[in-house]
Amino acid sequence: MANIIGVIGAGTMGSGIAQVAALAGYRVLLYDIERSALDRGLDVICKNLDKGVEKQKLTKEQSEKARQKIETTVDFILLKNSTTVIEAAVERFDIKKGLFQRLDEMLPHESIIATNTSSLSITALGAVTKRTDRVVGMHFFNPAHIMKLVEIIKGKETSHTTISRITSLTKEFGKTPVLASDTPGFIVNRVARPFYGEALRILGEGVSDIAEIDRIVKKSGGFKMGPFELMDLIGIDVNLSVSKSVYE
Amino acid sequence: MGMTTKKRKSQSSAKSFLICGDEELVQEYGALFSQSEADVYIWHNRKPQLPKRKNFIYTRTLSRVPKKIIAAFELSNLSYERKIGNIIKIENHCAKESLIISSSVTQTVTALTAHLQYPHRIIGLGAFPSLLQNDLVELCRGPFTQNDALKTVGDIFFDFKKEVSLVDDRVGMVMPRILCCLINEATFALQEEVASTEGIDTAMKLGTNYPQGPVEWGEKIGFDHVLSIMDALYFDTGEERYRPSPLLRKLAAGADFASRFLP
Repeated sequence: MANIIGVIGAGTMGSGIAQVAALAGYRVLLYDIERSALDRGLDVICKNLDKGVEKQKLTKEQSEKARQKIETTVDFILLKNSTTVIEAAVERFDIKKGLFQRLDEMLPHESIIATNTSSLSITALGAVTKRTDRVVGMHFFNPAHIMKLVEIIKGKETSHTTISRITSLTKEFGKTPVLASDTPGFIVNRVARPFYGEALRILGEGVSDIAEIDRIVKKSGGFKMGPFELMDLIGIDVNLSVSKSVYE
Repeated sequence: MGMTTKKRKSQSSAKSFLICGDEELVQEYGALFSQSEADVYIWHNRKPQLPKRKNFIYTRTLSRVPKKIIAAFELSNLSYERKIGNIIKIENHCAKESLIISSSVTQTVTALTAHLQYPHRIIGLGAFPSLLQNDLVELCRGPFTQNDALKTVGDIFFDFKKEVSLVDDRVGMVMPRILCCLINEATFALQEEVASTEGIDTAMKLGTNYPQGPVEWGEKIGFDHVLSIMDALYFDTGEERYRPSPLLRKLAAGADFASRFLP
Protein backbone atom coordinates (compact mmCIF):
# COMPACT_ATOMS: atom_id res chain seq x y z
CA MET A 1 0.00 0.00 0.00
CA ALA A 2 1.29 3.44 -0.89
CA ASN A 3 2.22 5.55 2.09
CA ILE A 4 -0.45 8.23 2.07
CA ILE A 5 -0.97 10.77 4.79
CA GLY A 6 -4.46 12.12 5.11
CA VAL A 7 -4.86 15.57 6.62
CA ILE A 8 -8.27 16.75 7.78
CA GLY A 9 -8.87 20.48 7.76
CA ALA A 10 -7.21 22.96 5.40
CA GLY A 11 -6.96 25.77 7.94
CA THR A 12 -3.70 27.24 9.22
CA MET A 13 -2.59 24.10 11.03
CA GLY A 14 -3.87 21.54 8.49
CA SER A 15 -2.24 23.20 5.52
CA GLY A 16 1.03 23.66 7.44
CA ILE A 17 1.01 19.97 8.37
CA ALA A 18 0.25 18.97 4.76
CA GLN A 19 3.21 21.02 3.59
CA VAL A 20 5.56 19.44 6.14
CA ALA A 21 4.45 15.91 5.19
CA ALA A 22 4.79 16.59 1.46
CA LEU A 23 8.28 18.03 1.93
CA ALA A 24 9.22 14.83 3.76
CA GLY A 25 8.27 12.95 0.60
CA TYR A 26 4.82 11.67 1.53
CA ARG A 27 1.80 11.70 -0.72
CA VAL A 28 -0.71 13.90 1.06
CA LEU A 29 -4.45 13.98 0.71
CA LEU A 30 -5.78 17.21 2.19
CA TYR A 31 -9.46 17.07 3.02
CA ASP A 32 -11.88 19.83 3.95
CA ILE A 33 -15.66 20.09 3.77
CA GLU A 34 -15.37 23.18 1.62
CA ARG A 35 -13.65 23.56 -1.71
CA SER A 36 -12.94 27.21 -0.95
CA ALA A 37 -11.09 26.26 2.24
CA LEU A 38 -8.94 23.83 0.24
CA ASP A 39 -8.17 26.50 -2.33
CA ARG A 40 -7.15 28.92 0.39
CA GLY A 41 -5.08 26.26 2.14
CA LEU A 42 -3.30 25.30 -1.04
CA ASP A 43 -2.66 28.94 -1.79
CA VAL A 44 -1.01 29.39 1.61
CA ILE A 45 1.10 26.27 1.06
CA CYS A 46 2.31 27.56 -2.32
CA LYS A 47 3.18 30.95 -0.84
CA ASN A 48 5.07 29.32 2.04
CA LEU A 49 6.96 27.05 -0.35
CA ASP A 50 7.87 30.04 -2.51
CA LYS A 51 9.09 31.86 0.56
CA GLY A 52 11.20 28.83 1.43
CA VAL A 53 12.82 28.96 -2.00
CA GLU A 54 13.31 32.70 -1.70
CA LYS A 55 15.05 32.29 1.63
CA GLN A 56 17.10 29.44 0.16
CA LYS A 57 15.76 26.96 2.69
CA LEU A 58 14.39 24.88 -0.20
CA THR A 59 15.42 24.29 -3.76
CA LYS A 60 12.95 25.04 -6.51
CA GLU A 61 12.86 21.34 -7.27
CA GLN A 62 12.01 20.39 -3.66
CA SER A 63 9.27 22.97 -3.60
CA GLU A 64 7.72 21.76 -6.86
CA LYS A 65 7.97 18.13 -5.83
CA ALA A 66 6.23 18.90 -2.54
CA ARG A 67 3.50 20.79 -4.32
CA GLN A 68 2.88 17.82 -6.61
CA LYS A 69 2.60 15.48 -3.65
CA ILE A 70 -0.44 17.29 -2.27
CA GLU A 71 -3.89 16.42 -3.54
CA THR A 72 -7.04 17.97 -2.19
CA THR A 73 -10.54 16.61 -1.83
CA VAL A 74 -13.95 17.32 -0.38
CA ASP A 75 -14.78 13.62 -0.62
CA PHE A 76 -14.18 12.10 2.83
CA ILE A 77 -14.22 8.50 1.59
CA LEU A 78 -11.01 9.10 -0.39
CA LEU A 79 -9.12 9.23 2.92
CA LYS A 80 -9.69 5.50 3.26
CA ASN A 81 -6.28 4.57 1.82
CA SER A 82 -4.28 6.63 4.31
CA THR A 83 -1.73 4.92 6.54
CA THR A 84 -1.96 7.85 8.92
CA VAL A 85 -4.63 10.50 9.14
CA ILE A 86 -3.73 13.70 10.94
CA GLU A 87 -6.88 15.48 12.03
CA ALA A 88 -6.68 19.26 12.29
CA ALA A 89 -10.37 20.20 12.24
CA VAL A 90 -11.97 22.75 14.56
CA GLU A 91 -11.48 22.24 18.31
CA ARG A 92 -14.91 20.77 19.00
CA PHE A 93 -15.35 17.35 20.51
CA ASP A 94 -18.64 16.62 18.71
CA ILE A 95 -17.10 17.36 15.32
CA LYS A 96 -13.95 15.37 15.97
CA LYS A 97 -16.04 12.52 17.34
CA GLY A 98 -17.98 12.29 14.07
CA LEU A 99 -14.78 12.38 12.02
CA PHE A 100 -13.06 9.74 14.15
CA GLN A 101 -16.02 7.36 13.94
CA ARG A 102 -16.17 7.62 10.17
CA LEU A 103 -12.40 7.20 9.85
CA ASP A 104 -12.48 4.19 12.16
CA GLU A 105 -15.03 2.47 9.92
CA MET A 106 -13.23 3.00 6.65
CA LEU A 107 -9.50 3.00 7.41
CA PRO A 108 -7.41 -0.18 7.15
CA HIS A 109 -6.88 -1.95 10.46
CA GLU A 110 -3.26 -0.82 10.97
CA SER A 111 -3.79 2.85 10.10
CA ILE A 112 -3.29 5.45 12.79
CA ILE A 113 -5.59 8.34 13.60
CA ALA A 114 -3.53 11.23 14.93
CA THR A 115 -5.09 14.45 16.17
CA ASN A 116 -3.59 17.90 16.30
CA THR A 117 -5.90 18.88 19.15
CA SER A 118 -4.42 21.28 21.67
CA SER A 119 -7.06 20.91 24.32
CA LEU A 120 -9.17 17.77 23.99
CA SER A 121 -8.42 14.48 25.69
CA ILE A 122 -6.77 11.90 23.42
CA THR A 123 -8.22 9.13 25.58
CA ALA A 124 -11.75 10.50 25.16
CA LEU A 125 -11.29 10.86 21.39
CA GLY A 126 -9.82 7.37 21.13
CA ALA A 127 -12.78 5.96 23.02
CA VAL A 128 -15.22 6.87 20.24
CA THR A 129 -13.35 4.41 17.97
CA LYS A 130 -12.66 0.67 18.07
CA ARG A 131 -8.94 1.34 17.63
CA THR A 132 -8.08 3.00 20.95
CA ASP A 133 -4.51 1.70 20.64
CA ARG A 134 -4.04 3.47 17.29
CA VAL A 135 -5.30 6.91 18.28
CA VAL A 136 -2.63 9.40 19.32
CA GLY A 137 -2.07 13.11 19.80
CA MET A 138 0.29 14.83 17.38
CA HIS A 139 0.31 18.45 18.44
CA PHE A 140 2.06 20.82 16.03
CA PHE A 141 2.82 24.45 16.81
CA ASN A 142 1.86 27.43 14.74
CA PRO A 143 3.27 28.03 12.10
CA ALA A 144 3.57 24.28 11.61
CA HIS A 145 6.01 24.50 8.69
CA ILE A 146 8.46 26.46 10.87
CA MET A 147 8.07 25.43 14.51
CA LYS A 148 10.23 22.43 15.33
CA LEU A 149 8.22 20.97 18.18
CA VAL A 150 5.59 18.25 18.00
CA GLU A 151 4.07 17.01 21.25
CA ILE A 152 3.23 13.31 20.96
CA ILE A 153 0.40 12.51 23.33
CA LYS A 154 -0.25 9.03 24.57
CA GLY A 155 -3.88 8.31 25.36
CA LYS A 156 -4.71 5.78 28.05
CA GLU A 157 -4.76 2.93 25.55
CA THR A 158 -2.40 4.19 22.85
CA SER A 159 0.07 1.39 22.10
CA HIS A 160 3.85 1.64 22.16
CA THR A 161 3.89 0.69 18.48
CA THR A 162 1.67 3.66 17.65
CA ILE A 163 3.87 5.98 19.70
CA SER A 164 7.01 4.75 18.04
CA ARG A 165 5.49 4.98 14.53
CA ILE A 166 4.32 8.57 15.14
CA THR A 167 7.65 9.47 16.75
CA SER A 168 9.49 8.23 13.65
CA LEU A 169 7.09 10.05 11.38
CA THR A 170 7.66 13.28 13.32
CA LYS A 171 11.40 12.89 12.87
CA GLU A 172 10.92 12.24 9.15
CA PHE A 173 9.01 15.52 9.06
CA GLY A 174 12.18 17.16 10.38
CA LYS A 175 10.54 17.92 13.71
CA THR A 176 11.49 17.22 17.32
CA PRO A 177 9.05 14.89 19.07
CA VAL A 178 8.44 15.25 22.80
CA LEU A 179 6.32 12.68 24.58
CA ALA A 180 3.59 14.03 26.85
CA SER A 181 0.83 12.47 28.90
CA ASP A 182 -2.84 13.09 28.18
CA THR A 183 -3.40 15.92 30.67
CA PRO A 184 -4.99 19.34 30.03
CA GLY A 185 -2.76 21.58 27.90
CA PHE A 186 -0.17 18.78 27.57
CA ILE A 187 3.22 20.46 28.13
CA VAL A 188 3.48 23.81 26.40
CA ASN A 189 -0.04 25.14 26.74
CA ARG A 190 0.01 24.24 30.38
CA VAL A 191 3.47 25.35 31.50
CA ALA A 192 3.19 28.58 29.48
CA ARG A 193 -0.07 29.65 31.18
CA PRO A 194 1.65 31.75 33.88
CA PHE A 195 3.59 33.65 31.22
CA TYR A 196 0.31 35.25 30.17
CA GLY A 197 -1.70 34.86 33.36
CA GLU A 198 0.89 36.46 35.62
CA ALA A 199 1.55 39.25 33.12
CA LEU A 200 -2.18 40.03 33.17
CA ARG A 201 -2.23 39.88 36.96
CA ILE A 202 0.78 42.19 37.22
CA LEU A 203 -0.95 44.61 34.86
CA GLY A 204 -4.25 44.36 36.71
CA GLU A 205 -2.59 45.02 40.05
CA GLY A 206 -0.85 48.09 38.63
CA VAL A 207 2.67 46.78 39.25
CA SER A 208 3.67 47.88 35.75
CA ASP A 209 2.05 48.67 32.40
CA ILE A 210 1.78 46.73 29.14
CA ALA A 211 4.74 48.26 27.34
CA GLU A 212 6.97 48.04 30.41
CA ILE A 213 6.04 44.43 31.19
CA ASP A 214 6.93 43.46 27.62
CA ARG A 215 10.19 45.41 27.85
CA ILE A 216 11.13 43.83 31.19
CA VAL A 217 10.36 40.30 30.01
CA LYS A 218 12.48 40.75 26.90
CA LYS A 219 15.36 42.74 28.37
CA SER A 220 15.51 41.27 31.85
CA GLY A 221 14.38 37.72 31.09
CA GLY A 222 15.86 37.39 27.61
CA PHE A 223 12.56 36.27 26.06
CA LYS A 224 12.17 36.97 22.35
CA MET A 225 8.70 38.43 22.80
CA GLY A 226 6.84 39.98 25.70
CA PRO A 227 3.64 38.33 26.98
CA PHE A 228 1.35 41.03 25.55
CA GLU A 229 3.04 41.01 22.15
CA LEU A 230 2.73 37.25 22.09
CA MET A 231 -0.93 37.33 23.13
CA ASP A 232 -1.55 39.75 20.28
CA LEU A 233 0.20 37.43 17.85
CA ILE A 234 -1.54 34.25 18.99
CA GLY A 235 -4.87 36.00 19.29
CA ILE A 236 -6.36 36.92 22.64
CA ASP A 237 -9.44 34.83 21.80
CA VAL A 238 -7.29 31.73 21.18
CA ASN A 239 -5.38 32.37 24.38
CA LEU A 240 -8.59 32.68 26.36
CA SER A 241 -9.98 29.43 25.00
CA VAL A 242 -6.73 27.55 25.79
CA SER A 243 -6.70 28.99 29.32
CA LYS A 244 -10.32 27.99 29.82
CA SER A 245 -9.69 24.47 28.62
CA VAL A 246 -6.66 24.01 30.92
CA TYR A 247 -8.71 25.46 33.78
CA GLU A 248 -11.64 23.16 33.13
CA MET B 1 6.37 54.06 34.19
CA GLY B 2 9.60 53.71 32.23
CA MET B 3 12.66 55.47 33.53
CA THR B 4 15.39 56.24 31.08
CA THR B 5 18.85 56.80 32.38
CA LYS B 6 20.87 59.80 31.28
CA LYS B 7 24.60 60.14 31.53
CA ARG B 8 25.38 62.07 34.67
CA LYS B 9 28.54 62.23 36.74
CA SER B 10 28.15 61.02 40.28
CA GLN B 11 27.81 63.95 42.67
CA SER B 12 29.17 62.03 45.61
CA SER B 13 32.80 62.20 46.63
CA ALA B 14 32.55 58.80 48.23
CA LYS B 15 33.59 56.20 45.69
CA SER B 16 32.93 52.96 47.48
CA PHE B 17 30.24 50.34 47.34
CA LEU B 18 29.24 47.56 49.66
CA ILE B 19 27.82 44.21 48.55
CA CYS B 20 26.33 41.59 50.84
CA GLY B 21 23.59 38.96 50.88
CA ASP B 22 22.86 35.61 49.24
CA GLU B 23 25.96 33.99 47.83
CA GLU B 24 24.69 33.60 44.25
CA LEU B 25 23.67 37.25 44.07
CA VAL B 26 26.87 38.53 45.67
CA GLN B 27 28.69 36.53 43.04
CA GLU B 28 26.67 38.01 40.17
CA TYR B 29 26.77 41.59 41.42
CA GLY B 30 30.43 41.19 42.31
CA ALA B 31 31.11 40.12 38.72
CA LEU B 32 29.24 43.20 37.53
CA PHE B 33 31.35 45.45 39.77
CA SER B 34 34.54 43.89 38.47
CA GLN B 35 34.00 46.27 35.52
CA SER B 36 34.12 49.20 37.92
CA GLU B 37 37.09 51.16 39.27
CA ALA B 38 35.37 51.95 42.56
CA ASP B 39 36.32 50.24 45.80
CA VAL B 40 33.93 47.40 46.40
CA TYR B 41 33.63 46.02 49.91
CA ILE B 42 32.30 42.49 49.92
CA TRP B 43 30.85 41.72 53.32
CA HIS B 44 30.56 37.96 53.62
CA ASN B 45 30.51 34.90 55.81
CA ARG B 46 31.99 32.67 53.14
CA LYS B 47 34.29 34.27 50.58
CA PRO B 48 32.55 34.21 47.19
CA GLN B 49 34.39 33.12 44.06
CA LEU B 50 34.97 36.24 42.03
CA PRO B 51 37.46 37.38 39.43
CA LYS B 52 40.62 38.74 41.07
CA ARG B 53 40.37 42.52 41.22
CA LYS B 54 42.44 45.10 43.09
CA ASN B 55 39.34 47.12 43.92
CA PHE B 56 37.64 44.21 45.77
CA ILE B 57 37.99 44.27 49.52
CA TYR B 58 36.68 41.23 51.35
CA THR B 59 35.56 41.70 54.91
CA ARG B 60 33.71 39.75 57.56
CA THR B 61 32.83 42.85 59.55
CA LEU B 62 31.33 46.19 58.60
CA SER B 63 33.85 48.13 60.70
CA ARG B 64 36.38 48.03 57.84
CA VAL B 65 33.88 49.66 55.50
CA PRO B 66 33.96 53.48 55.22
CA LYS B 67 30.91 55.15 56.72
CA LYS B 68 30.36 57.21 53.63
CA ILE B 69 29.83 55.02 50.60
CA ILE B 70 27.78 55.56 47.46
CA ALA B 71 25.55 52.61 48.06
CA ALA B 72 25.19 49.32 49.85
CA PHE B 73 23.75 46.47 47.77
CA GLU B 74 21.89 44.27 50.21
CA LEU B 75 21.12 41.12 48.23
CA SER B 76 19.30 38.68 50.52
CA ASN B 77 16.18 36.92 49.34
CA LEU B 78 16.36 33.62 51.16
CA SER B 79 16.22 34.68 54.79
CA TYR B 80 14.10 37.49 56.17
CA GLU B 81 15.98 37.54 59.47
CA ARG B 82 19.31 37.88 57.74
CA LYS B 83 17.96 40.56 55.47
CA ILE B 84 16.59 42.68 58.28
CA GLY B 85 19.77 42.07 60.30
CA ASN B 86 21.91 43.25 57.38
CA ILE B 87 19.79 46.32 56.78
CA ILE B 88 19.83 47.40 60.41
CA LYS B 89 23.60 46.91 60.59
CA ILE B 90 24.14 48.88 57.38
CA GLU B 91 21.83 51.61 58.65
CA ASN B 92 23.74 51.85 61.92
CA HIS B 93 27.11 51.85 60.23
CA CYS B 94 26.72 53.97 57.10
CA ALA B 95 26.19 57.71 56.87
CA LYS B 96 22.62 58.70 56.15
CA GLU B 97 23.56 59.87 52.63
CA SER B 98 24.73 56.38 51.65
CA LEU B 99 22.06 54.62 49.65
CA ILE B 100 20.70 51.22 50.58
CA ILE B 101 19.77 49.26 47.50
CA SER B 102 17.98 46.22 48.78
CA SER B 103 16.63 43.26 46.92
CA SER B 104 12.86 43.59 47.18
CA VAL B 105 11.58 40.44 45.52
CA THR B 106 10.67 38.53 48.68
CA GLN B 107 9.93 41.60 50.84
CA THR B 108 8.48 44.93 49.80
CA VAL B 109 10.52 48.08 50.27
CA THR B 110 7.67 49.28 52.43
CA ALA B 111 8.21 46.38 54.81
CA LEU B 112 11.94 47.13 54.93
CA THR B 113 11.28 50.83 55.46
CA ALA B 114 9.68 50.02 58.78
CA HIS B 115 13.14 49.06 60.07
CA LEU B 116 14.94 52.20 58.92
CA GLN B 117 15.64 55.51 60.57
CA TYR B 118 16.41 57.22 57.28
CA PRO B 119 14.06 55.62 54.75
CA HIS B 120 14.59 58.32 52.12
CA ARG B 121 17.66 56.42 50.87
CA ILE B 122 16.31 52.93 50.36
CA ILE B 123 15.58 51.63 46.86
CA GLY B 124 14.14 48.25 45.98
CA LEU B 125 16.02 46.09 43.49
CA GLY B 126 14.83 43.11 41.46
CA ALA B 127 17.87 41.07 42.38
CA PHE B 128 17.33 37.51 41.27
CA PRO B 129 19.87 34.91 40.11
CA SER B 130 20.52 34.66 36.36
CA LEU B 131 18.77 37.92 35.43
CA LEU B 132 21.83 40.15 35.63
CA GLN B 133 23.27 38.57 32.49
CA ASN B 134 20.58 40.48 30.57
CA ASP B 135 20.15 44.19 29.91
CA LEU B 136 17.53 45.45 32.31
CA VAL B 137 17.15 45.78 36.06
CA GLU B 138 13.89 46.40 37.90
CA LEU B 139 13.77 49.02 40.63
CA CYS B 140 11.06 50.20 42.95
CA ARG B 141 10.64 52.93 45.49
CA GLY B 142 9.43 52.86 49.06
CA PRO B 143 7.03 55.37 50.59
CA PHE B 144 9.85 57.80 51.48
CA THR B 145 12.40 57.12 48.73
CA GLN B 146 13.77 60.35 47.30
CA ASN B 147 13.94 60.99 43.55
CA ASP B 148 17.65 61.78 43.81
CA ALA B 149 18.33 58.39 45.32
CA LEU B 150 16.49 56.72 42.48
CA LYS B 151 18.37 58.78 39.94
CA THR B 152 21.73 57.81 41.44
CA VAL B 153 20.83 54.13 41.24
CA GLY B 154 19.75 54.58 37.63
CA ASP B 155 23.15 56.15 36.91
CA ILE B 156 25.03 53.33 38.61
CA PHE B 157 23.30 50.81 36.37
CA PHE B 158 23.67 53.04 33.34
CA ASP B 159 27.44 52.90 33.83
CA PHE B 160 27.17 49.12 33.62
CA LYS B 161 25.14 49.51 30.41
CA LYS B 162 21.94 48.36 32.09
CA GLU B 163 18.54 49.88 31.58
CA VAL B 164 16.20 50.20 34.52
CA SER B 165 12.45 49.94 34.84
CA LEU B 166 10.61 51.40 37.78
CA VAL B 167 7.83 49.07 38.93
CA ASP B 168 5.42 49.17 41.84
CA ASP B 169 6.54 47.91 45.24
CA ARG B 170 5.18 44.35 45.12
CA VAL B 171 6.64 41.01 46.11
CA GLY B 172 8.10 39.23 43.06
CA MET B 173 8.21 42.46 41.06
CA VAL B 174 7.76 41.55 37.35
CA MET B 175 10.33 39.16 35.91
CA PRO B 176 11.07 37.05 39.01
CA ARG B 177 7.32 36.63 39.54
CA ILE B 178 6.55 35.48 35.98
CA LEU B 179 9.66 33.32 35.78
CA CYS B 180 9.13 31.57 39.12
CA CYS B 181 5.46 30.90 38.36
CA LEU B 182 6.58 29.23 35.10
CA ILE B 183 9.18 27.14 36.89
CA ASN B 184 6.70 26.20 39.62
CA GLU B 185 4.15 25.09 37.01
CA ALA B 186 6.87 23.06 35.28
CA THR B 187 7.60 21.26 38.58
CA PHE B 188 3.89 20.51 39.01
CA ALA B 189 3.90 19.03 35.49
CA LEU B 190 7.03 17.01 36.32
CA GLN B 191 5.50 15.75 39.52
CA GLU B 192 2.39 14.65 37.63
CA GLU B 193 4.61 12.91 35.06
CA VAL B 194 3.26 14.95 32.17
CA ALA B 195 6.70 14.64 30.58
CA SER B 196 10.36 14.16 31.47
CA THR B 197 12.59 17.01 32.61
CA GLU B 198 14.26 17.04 29.21
CA GLY B 199 10.89 16.83 27.47
CA ILE B 200 9.55 19.88 29.30
CA ASP B 201 12.68 21.91 28.65
CA THR B 202 12.79 20.97 24.97
CA ALA B 203 9.08 21.63 24.51
CA MET B 204 9.24 25.11 26.05
CA LYS B 205 12.30 26.11 24.04
CA LEU B 206 11.01 24.82 20.71
CA GLY B 207 7.28 25.36 21.17
CA THR B 208 7.36 28.87 22.60
CA ASN B 209 10.91 30.08 21.94
CA TYR B 210 11.83 30.39 25.62
CA PRO B 211 15.51 31.28 26.05
CA GLN B 212 15.93 28.36 28.48
CA GLY B 213 13.80 25.44 29.55
CA PRO B 214 12.03 26.10 32.87
CA VAL B 215 13.59 23.17 34.72
CA GLU B 216 17.16 23.82 33.61
CA TRP B 217 16.59 27.51 34.34
CA GLY B 218 15.35 26.67 37.82
CA GLU B 219 18.44 24.58 38.40
CA LYS B 220 20.66 27.42 37.26
CA ILE B 221 18.86 29.96 39.46
CA GLY B 222 18.75 27.58 42.40
CA PHE B 223 15.41 26.03 43.33
CA ASP B 224 15.75 27.54 46.82
CA HIS B 225 15.57 31.00 45.23
CA VAL B 226 12.56 30.00 43.15
CA LEU B 227 10.81 28.68 46.24
CA SER B 228 11.56 31.89 48.17
CA ILE B 229 9.61 33.88 45.56
CA MET B 230 6.71 31.42 45.44
CA ASP B 231 6.49 31.35 49.24
CA ALA B 232 6.54 35.14 49.32
CA LEU B 233 3.81 35.40 46.65
CA TYR B 234 1.70 32.76 48.36
CA PHE B 235 2.07 34.48 51.71
CA ASP B 236 1.38 37.87 50.13
CA THR B 237 -1.83 36.83 48.35
CA GLY B 238 -3.02 33.65 50.03
CA GLU B 239 -3.97 32.43 46.57
CA GLU B 240 -3.81 28.85 45.35
CA ARG B 241 -2.17 29.89 42.08
CA TYR B 242 1.04 30.72 43.96
CA ARG B 243 1.21 27.50 45.95
CA PRO B 244 4.67 25.97 45.50
CA SER B 245 4.60 22.38 44.26
CA PRO B 246 5.79 19.74 46.72
CA LEU B 247 8.45 18.81 44.17
CA LEU B 248 9.70 22.43 44.11
CA ARG B 249 9.96 22.35 47.90
CA LYS B 250 11.96 19.14 47.69
CA LEU B 251 14.20 20.50 44.94
CA ALA B 252 14.77 23.62 47.03
CA ALA B 253 15.72 21.56 50.06
CA GLY B 254 18.36 19.81 47.98
CA ALA B 255 19.11 22.73 45.68
CA ASP B 256 22.83 22.00 45.58
CA PHE B 257 22.29 18.46 44.33
CA ALA B 258 18.92 18.84 42.59
CA SER B 259 20.21 17.20 39.41
CA ARG B 260 20.59 13.95 41.35
CA PHE B 261 16.92 13.61 42.05
CA LEU B 262 15.22 15.55 39.27
CA PRO B 263 12.66 13.22 37.67
